Amino acid sequence: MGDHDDFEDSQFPDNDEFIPYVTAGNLAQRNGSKVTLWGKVSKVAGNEGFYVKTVDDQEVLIRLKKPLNESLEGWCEIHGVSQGRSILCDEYVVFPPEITTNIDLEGHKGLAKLLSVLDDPWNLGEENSSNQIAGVKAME
Amino acid sequence: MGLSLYGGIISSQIENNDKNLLSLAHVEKKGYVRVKEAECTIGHRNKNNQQTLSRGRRTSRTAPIVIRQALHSGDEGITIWGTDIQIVCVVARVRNIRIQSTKITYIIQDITARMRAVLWLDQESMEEDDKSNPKVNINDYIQVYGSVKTNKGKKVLMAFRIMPITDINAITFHYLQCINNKIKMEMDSKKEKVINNNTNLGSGLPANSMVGITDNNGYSNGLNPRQMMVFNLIRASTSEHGISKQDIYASLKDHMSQMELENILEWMCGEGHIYTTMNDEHFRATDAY
Repeated sequence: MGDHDDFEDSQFPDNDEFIPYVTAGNLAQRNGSKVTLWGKVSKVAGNEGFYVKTVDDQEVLIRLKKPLNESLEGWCEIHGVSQGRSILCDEYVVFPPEITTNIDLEGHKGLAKLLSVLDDPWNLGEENSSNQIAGVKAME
Repeated sequence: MGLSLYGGIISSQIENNDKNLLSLAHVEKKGYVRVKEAECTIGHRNKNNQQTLSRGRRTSRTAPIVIRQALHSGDEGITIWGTDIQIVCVVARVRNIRIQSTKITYIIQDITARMRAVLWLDQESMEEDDKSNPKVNINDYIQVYGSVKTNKGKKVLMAFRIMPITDINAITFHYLQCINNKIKMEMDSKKEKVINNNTNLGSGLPANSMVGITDNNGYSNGLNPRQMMVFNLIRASTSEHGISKQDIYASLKDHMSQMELENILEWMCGEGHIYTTMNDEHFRATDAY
């Protein structure tokens, strides 16, 4: 049991990587960085991947590392690296259609904008907190 | 920005009779709510040095946070710009689920970080028709209410309640609420600092002075200023055994008599604000730092 736990822990270690939400507008300025994008599947792009329509009504190409082996529909969350006008997708999560019936596009656009302009939105002003995660030593 | 508030999410919590829920009205006004008269059992030793459980009244604060804030918190738990938060709410995606006989460990991830959340199982939750912990799958978005604990140096979220996200806007709303909270409380705490800098707590005060006795945390716990003086001294003590009666009296002898001090201590013990530790002469506060 112990070995199995260690393996699982090493698969998903605690980390504090901030991968912000973006819109098509922000994508270009985050070229090369990891981003998270919400988009509604609009069309499949052959072996490359698929296109999504973002909350700010623009089409973005989602490049996949492996060919698509399922039919995609509706809103999904894309995690990947921005390539300017497209995203190289690490993984995607399809939202169940019942939760996206009333999706607030303006709200999400606002969130993405806030995340791009705010310096440190997660700082809680704790004097004794470090910038490090508890129990994890930074690599040399 | 044209954000609308999502009553649907909140009302489902009301249906489930969740005592830790955020009421919509409170969510609109502030980023966190104080759960009114939240009761908790506090173990303390009575005069015979036996452990007794009594119901004391403690304000229990709930706030939405992101996982990064949980990971970076100190050993004392979450503090948002000076305000201690007992219960947190996290909205995140499930990356992994590990089911054991006594607990389920979820690896949860949001846009800021990834950590473990543990849901302890008891006999009742093993019942099939139990609705309090619905089935959760990998890659589902969930809302977790719980407490951030430190276990072997690592942070873990001890979950009280896990609910699936039924409206995608709850995810957006959660992050916006976290940001709003942080900015509001940062502003509030900076305003307070300006006021406090003007208060001088020198030892040259006359014996009957009440200056500077008000509690900076801004929560009223039913103590009058005389009692607050004693309580603050006890609360400030960092030792495991707390502060002794002699020490309290030594600090306050210019302000009150031994008799008054004894009465105050006895009353506060009875109310549950303080408790005795290794003997009847040593006290600790029930919500010490």
